[in-house]
Amino acid sequence: MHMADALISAPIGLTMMGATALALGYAIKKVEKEDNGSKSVKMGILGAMVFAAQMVNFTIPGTGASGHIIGTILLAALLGPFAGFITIASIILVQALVFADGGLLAYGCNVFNMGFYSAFIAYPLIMQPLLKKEINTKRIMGASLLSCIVGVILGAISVIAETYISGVSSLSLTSFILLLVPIHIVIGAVEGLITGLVLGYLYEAKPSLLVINEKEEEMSKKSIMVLGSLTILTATVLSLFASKNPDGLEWSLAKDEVTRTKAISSVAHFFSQIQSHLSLLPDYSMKGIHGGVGTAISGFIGIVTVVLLSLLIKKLIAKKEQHVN
Amino acid sequence: MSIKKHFDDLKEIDELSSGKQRKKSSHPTFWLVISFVFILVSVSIHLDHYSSFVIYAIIIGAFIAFSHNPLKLWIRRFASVFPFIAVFALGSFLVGDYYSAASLIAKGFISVTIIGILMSHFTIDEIGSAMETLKIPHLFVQQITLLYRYIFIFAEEFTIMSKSYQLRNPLTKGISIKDVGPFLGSFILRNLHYGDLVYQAMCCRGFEYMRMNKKTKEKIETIKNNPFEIKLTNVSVHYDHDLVALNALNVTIKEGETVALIGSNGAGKTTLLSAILGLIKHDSGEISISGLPLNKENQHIIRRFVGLIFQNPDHQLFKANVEDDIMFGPQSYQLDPEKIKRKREKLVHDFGIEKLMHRSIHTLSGGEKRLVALLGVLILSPKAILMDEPTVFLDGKGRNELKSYIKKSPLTQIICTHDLDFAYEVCERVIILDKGTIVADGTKEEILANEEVLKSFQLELPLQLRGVI
Repeated sequence: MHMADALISAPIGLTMMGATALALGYAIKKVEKEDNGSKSVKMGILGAMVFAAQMVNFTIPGTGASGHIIGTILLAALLGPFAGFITIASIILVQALVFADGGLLAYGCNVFNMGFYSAFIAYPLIMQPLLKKEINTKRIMGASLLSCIVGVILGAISVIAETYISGVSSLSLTSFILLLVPIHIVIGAVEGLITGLVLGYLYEAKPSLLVINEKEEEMSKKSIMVLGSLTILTATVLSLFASKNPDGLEWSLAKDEVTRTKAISSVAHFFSQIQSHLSLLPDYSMKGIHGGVGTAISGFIGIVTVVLLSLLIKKLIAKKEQHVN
Repeated sequence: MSIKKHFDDLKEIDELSSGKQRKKSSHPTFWLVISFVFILVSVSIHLDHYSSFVIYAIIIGAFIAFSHNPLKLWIRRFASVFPFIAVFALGSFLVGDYYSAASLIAKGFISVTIIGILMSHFTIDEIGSAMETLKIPHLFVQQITLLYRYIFIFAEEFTIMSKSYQLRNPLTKGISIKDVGPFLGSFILRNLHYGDLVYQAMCCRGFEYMRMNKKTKEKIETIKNNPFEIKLTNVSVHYDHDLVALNALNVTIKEGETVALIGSNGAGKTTLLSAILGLIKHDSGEISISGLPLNKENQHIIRRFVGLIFQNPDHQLFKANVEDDIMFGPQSYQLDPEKIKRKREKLVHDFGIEKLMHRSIHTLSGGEKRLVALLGVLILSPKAILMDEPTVFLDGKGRNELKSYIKKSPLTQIICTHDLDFAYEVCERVIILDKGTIVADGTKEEILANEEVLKSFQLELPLQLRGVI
């Protein structure tokens, strides 16, 4: 799932980098607040182990197929979602630098695709609730399978969106989806299976290792709100860039027979209205500036937009909290 | 690709960026930013004429030629990104958009080339410090450097586990899915403790050392100027609440003493050494070094003057090659490079390990690793050295060399050992620990030559006193 730099355009790369930086910054603040000094070492150790484990291809009997893990759900279950996210982000950076797996510009995309959805959507919304009431190896397996499949598919959809909006390939959206989603359902299932097996073993051997078992670290509503807003924001900014394509993402979604519902078309209509009024970045580049420079500037504006909007949301939340208090 | 091949690649890449072939460069922050901007610009430029591909090819070729990296490393790097790019390029190719297909591949190659060149000039540590300059939070940068170090340590462990798995399951290619849980699970369990020890070893050589301030300087002067002394008053350490590791221990060790710490397994010997350096927190009592009490604030200063040689040198050595490992401590403490260079040359000459300097750590024998670990501590000019089972992994020659070194050394030395002959030969004072308390403390003649005392703690007379040797 590691995307190379060539697969995305500069604005998308920079926007995703901004989004990842915000998510990482938030996670780092959270971990620093809770950590008593020993967590960062455990993060490094488990990170290196997942790095090593990623190099092993596991064979699935009878199919001849093989796969390796990404490890985000595994890390989230052992370290908590925030520390897990930071750890997977550092693994991806080392891979980008040392192995050239994924690129520097695509770094934000890769962390978001492989880390964000699993750590902050699949883990708190699927894994934790499923294991909250009762925990045993069977439930761990079920929860791991489900959360890994969801996490990986969300990541794959994100890959499709980023590449498609970047406009680097002439593939149609349908081909993109047909190409990537089915493969990733299988990848997600293998990931879930391995995660479930490892967590199951650890639960039996040393239950205290599983953060989930400690009944702590449940994500607060505030965290879910912050991260949820970040997701929506990133999607919004990305959709601004989609205007280049004659059949932009929202347009094709609205046109699709299956998904044509009033709600979706009105959402699409709303976005296209915003875009036509607010979009500073028609055709990727600024008016009067051509080529790479214009595109890069567009990207920077993308980042600034994400940062400013996030700050605004943070302020609004803080104000609301103050009001409540 | 097999795990071994992956790790071999990793080692090769690391050796290129930290080994002797490395083309040393400065200003990692500048080059990190430039590389990023270069990728940004090259990805943004629209390629729609054959001449642009020629220019890209010339740039990539020139970069590869000037990088001095072996071609197979480049092939390995390109191979890791190529399949994903190829799928998308094929899509464009099939619909007749040849320029898009070709530009995808060209851009893929150029970004890999740029990262490759960056990494053949800078180590991960240097990139880490560049990231800190760019105000990237310390916790994240620390993760990158920690993770990279641990990879090499666990790589060995992982290869051994995979090999033994393959021996028992010769017909399975890779690891069967039914064994994944126990395989990865036990890998995690085994190495959590291992990783913790490595971290302790790093802390002992200045990792996370606080920057100097006036107060720190004053404390350093206290240790430097006062007569050296390690003093423990009523020190107790408990594991998991009820297991007592040290029980109200009182002991003072003076400057220049060489003390043997003996006792059966679980008597508290290693715990005592770890407690002196603050690697294990004591629950009650006081530990002080030259009058400076051990606490969270002072432990970094104390570790600067009291070195620890771990039982397993693999826990202590974590850099790619010998030279880098020896220099880890001085670099962490930011000691004067010129002075350190002279000191290093002298030590390397005294120990006769000139030939080892550029070797990779994982190729050294047990005895060589022990020597390198000792040098890594000695280069910091400590006042005292604590050694945990120093004769383990040593052959006869290594044992003799270590013996003569300890005898000659003017430093305060505490040696934890089961080898009573070694203790008898090198130490003047002997302490017997039993169940976390000191049960005997005296000269080597009083303790090691006294069969009755030794027997009551399941110990035997040294062979040389029994007339065996």
